[in-house]
Amino acid sequence: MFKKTLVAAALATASMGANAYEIGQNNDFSVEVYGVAAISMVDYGKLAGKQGPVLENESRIGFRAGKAMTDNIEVFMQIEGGYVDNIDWAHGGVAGGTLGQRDTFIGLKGDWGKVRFGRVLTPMYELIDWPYANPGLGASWDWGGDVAYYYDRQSNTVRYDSPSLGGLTFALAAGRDDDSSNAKSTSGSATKDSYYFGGNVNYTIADMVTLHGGFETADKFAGNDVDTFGYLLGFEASLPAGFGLAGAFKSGESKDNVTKIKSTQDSYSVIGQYWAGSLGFKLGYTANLEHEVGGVKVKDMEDNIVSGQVMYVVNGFVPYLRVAERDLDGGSKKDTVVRVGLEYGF
Amino acid sequence: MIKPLLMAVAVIGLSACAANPEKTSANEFASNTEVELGYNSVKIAGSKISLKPTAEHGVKASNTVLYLLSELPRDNPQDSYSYVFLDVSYFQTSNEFTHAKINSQLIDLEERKVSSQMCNDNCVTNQWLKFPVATADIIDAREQGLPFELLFEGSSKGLKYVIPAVYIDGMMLRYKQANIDLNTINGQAGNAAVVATPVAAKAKSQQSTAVEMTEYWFGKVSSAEQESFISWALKNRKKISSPLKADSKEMEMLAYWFAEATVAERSELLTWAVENIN
Repeated sequence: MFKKTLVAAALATASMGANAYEIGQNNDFSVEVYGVAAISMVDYGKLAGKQGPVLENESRIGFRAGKAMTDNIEVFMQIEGGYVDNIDWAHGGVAGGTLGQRDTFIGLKGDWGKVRFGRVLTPMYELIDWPYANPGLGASWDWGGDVAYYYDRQSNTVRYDSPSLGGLTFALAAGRDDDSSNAKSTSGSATKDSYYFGGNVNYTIADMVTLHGGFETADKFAGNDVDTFGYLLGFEASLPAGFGLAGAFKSGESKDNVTKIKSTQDSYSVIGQYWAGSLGFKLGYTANLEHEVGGVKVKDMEDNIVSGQVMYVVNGFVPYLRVAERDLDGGSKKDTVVRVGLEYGF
Repeated sequence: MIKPLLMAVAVIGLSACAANPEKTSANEFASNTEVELGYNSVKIAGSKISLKPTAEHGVKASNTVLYLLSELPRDNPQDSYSYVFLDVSYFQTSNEFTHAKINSQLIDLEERKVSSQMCNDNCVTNQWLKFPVATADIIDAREQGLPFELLFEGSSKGLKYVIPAVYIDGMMLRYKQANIDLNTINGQAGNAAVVATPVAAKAKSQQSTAVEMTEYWFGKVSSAEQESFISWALKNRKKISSPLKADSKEMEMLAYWFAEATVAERSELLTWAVENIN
């Protein structure tokens, strides 16, 4: 007499054994390694404190994984390292390639959009960084301002990104500041009462022009007793015959809660580009205007950069040559910065 | 006599991604096309090729890799659907691609995994996509190539591509050969492909030939033989250490195909066999 139940029980055990044996071989969490190979040689000029050309290795690696939780929820994650750089071990260099330095999060995605929890760009900074900081405008436009009023990448963030709604997308984020104490910052602690909230919205009109808007507001910004607010308005235009134009204006303020003094600063960035097939040219200009402290303009602190770049796209590689004229801190820091580099995302 | 060489699934490994598809011949593409002979179909996967857009509007592509996958049934293969698998990287925009346009028809793109953004000197968006195309459209494009366009939500212009005619021609050449192989195999397997029993007709996509054939021959043997097979298969699921006592050609075929299955497939087959015993 053949006993189905007995065989079925034996098979259940057999199947479990087979599955356990295959863990790691048929991993349905689809883990992948990715990264950027990015090397460049740069000469910052005399005033930047570096003598002669140096190599900057901005390569990094990361891991991504994902798996469907339900028909309409995909769980995905990313752990990304920082730039490996050329660590000067002989002089007590600090390792820069630690996992988790750059965008590192766990997220959920469906046709309703995606939400990420962890270390991500703030929505306004995402616009500041791209497309308005390239080519080589960051030393003024990104991190060169005199009034700090936006974060770039924050560890304690919940960020939602909408799907495209007929050409309109938006993102909202809320988060905490990292603890201002370096000793504690690795533990994920945050400054008491330090929060930020930000968003961006993007709308494409007639396949030609995309309008961008962003804002960010924070209490106890960067762990200090100051409140901040900033906004950005910008556009990108796709013109005929390979031409493109982009421009943005951003403005921000920082109010010291102890002295009650408010500082403000405006900046703008304009970039033209032209693509002849795989060969691209960019020319950008940016300026930080004179900032004000307590309603009084501060002289000789404004910045501007004019920068040109030639690049070529070939099979995923982007080699480029860039020359930038930096005029920072009211003309006290003038330099010609030359960079030649190659990058590839894998 | 079973001829393992003919019976085995013919798999030819993918070659490295062809960066210059226009300079590759149809015969080279044919030899690099991956083939899997199913019970009643032929699955063909073209090699990966790197494509350059023929036109770009509002977006600049940095890298595009594509391959075609078709599962062609023995009967009326032109009525089936094939898939375009596409990895596309482009300088970041605020929108991501949501549609493909082929022959004026808008098709929803399916994300194979969640898109990503990576910034270094440039910011790049990566999307891993696939979308269906009527096999008839692919066959029709054998001489002229298959144009398609990737579009953002609500946009009318985006990235235009043409899947090269020589690539499609190579896949069709390989399919022609594979179809001959399939007919030869099924002919030698005792008309296995001609009559589908209710058991074998159980629709399962992506089954290996070994699984399909085991299920088929299981339906051909007697109840007593099915019991005998299950007892034997249970002992030999990890490693075929003893031959199945076979008094019929059908039992021989059943044991052969079970041995051809992977260890994981054998466990699934056993579960299935217990549920489907006569």
